[in-house]
This record gives sequence, structure tokens and C-alpha cells, in this order.
Amino acid sequence: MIAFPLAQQVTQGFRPFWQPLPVWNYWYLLLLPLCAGVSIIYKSIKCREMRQVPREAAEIFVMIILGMAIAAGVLLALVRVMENK
Amino acid sequence: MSTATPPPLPQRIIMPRRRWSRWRGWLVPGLGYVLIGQRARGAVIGVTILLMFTAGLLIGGMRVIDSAFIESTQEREDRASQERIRKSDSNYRAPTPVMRTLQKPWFIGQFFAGPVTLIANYVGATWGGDKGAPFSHARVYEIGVLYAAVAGMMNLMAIIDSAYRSGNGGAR
Repeated sequence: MIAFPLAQQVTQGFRPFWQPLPVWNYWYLLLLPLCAGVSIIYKSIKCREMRQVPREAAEIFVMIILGMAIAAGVLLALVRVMENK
Repeated sequence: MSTATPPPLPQRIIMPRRRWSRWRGWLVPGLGYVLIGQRARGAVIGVTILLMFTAGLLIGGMRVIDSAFIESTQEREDRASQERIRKSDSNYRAPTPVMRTLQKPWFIGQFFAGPVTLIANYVGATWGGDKGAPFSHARVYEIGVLYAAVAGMMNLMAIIDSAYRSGNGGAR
């Protein structure tokens, strides 16, 4: 659903690194790779054994996403309350 | 005749001096770990940092790396002409290098990703003629800047950790 229009935009004269990635409508999805990268690096530094990294990085990744979703929900509710005042 | 195997000799890992692993960790992300024998850790951290950095460039364009010291020809000329105009004002003082650095604070974080930052900055400033590559705007620019800065700050964490481990026999 999301990938098709993005792929269509990308193929229509997009010059990587010269132009920004055409993700105007899906910018919030860019949170996912950033959180994944931070989780992997953080747990690679923190874990005693590298075997533990995939599991622990996945756990912290989910926790970050949930934390962000809760923060977004709270801020949305706050904005709605302020608007109705 | 005894058939018992002799006890294994204690393994000695020669650790590089702390400051060297620190600098090499800046030159190539993850190299600090490789030098102390932790190849898997170094490879995972190095590849992830470089992927995040490249993702930042891809999202916002080459100009997400923007320092006060590597400028396009047009930027340099614009700044020189602005300074010429302002010099007529007796209260005017040319910005010091510290002030110029603080005008673009995200570059400080991005710098820790290694020489790749300086190369990206140079390419962005010179690509396509005097103006350099175009700047993107709004959210994609901010997100691209953030990706590159987070990659740099993560590499700083890795540099500090690998330097500590090299002075501690590889352990945390």
C-alpha cells in the first residue's frame, strides 16, 4: 500500500543523494530504521556476548516504539484538551 | 607413559594502547573493537553506524552534512560580501571559529562518525558547480540531519567503550 506510490515516485527522475527521498507522506515511518539502528548499536556495546544482541535489541526496539506511541498519544490528548478549552 | 593432555597455555591478547584504539575507532567506525579482538562486535557496530549515516544522506540529500568550514564557492563569496558590508559598522566583529561552529551545532555530533563526514561535506559543497548540491527543506532535512548526528553520537559511545575495553583486557 505504502511501498507502491513510494516506488513510483522514486523511479520518476529521483536522483539519490542530490534530492531528498520523496517520503513526504510517510515521514513517520523513518522512525523505525533509526530506532532499529540505535537498539542494535546500544545493545552491541552493552551485551557481554554478541549472541545476546539480536534478542535484546529486538526487546529494546519494541520498548522504544511503544514509548514513542504512548508519548504521541499523550501529546495528542493534551493538544485536544487545550483546543477545547 | 602418561597419556594425559598437558594443561592449555594461558592465552595472551595483546591490546593496543588506549589512545590508538580511540583514534582508529574514529577513522573507521567499529575498528576499535576489531583491534582488541572483538571482530563481531566491531563489524556489527561499524556497519550499523555507516548504514545510519548513509540513510541520513539518502533521506535529506548530501547537504544534511553542513559545516561552517567546508563551504561551496557561492557560500564563501556570499559570506565575504556580507562581511565587507558589515565592516563599515564600527560595532561589527567577525565571528570567531567557535562562533561559526556553534552556528551549525548538528555538525559537532555528525563529526564523530569519522572522516566520512568530512568527505560527505566536501562532496555536498562541490557537487554540481559553484552552488554545490541543493539543500532540502523541512522535515526530510531535519530527519536526515538527525540520522547522521545520531550515527556520530553512537560512534562516540563505541569509541569510548572500545578505549575502555582495551585498557581492561577486553572486558567492560
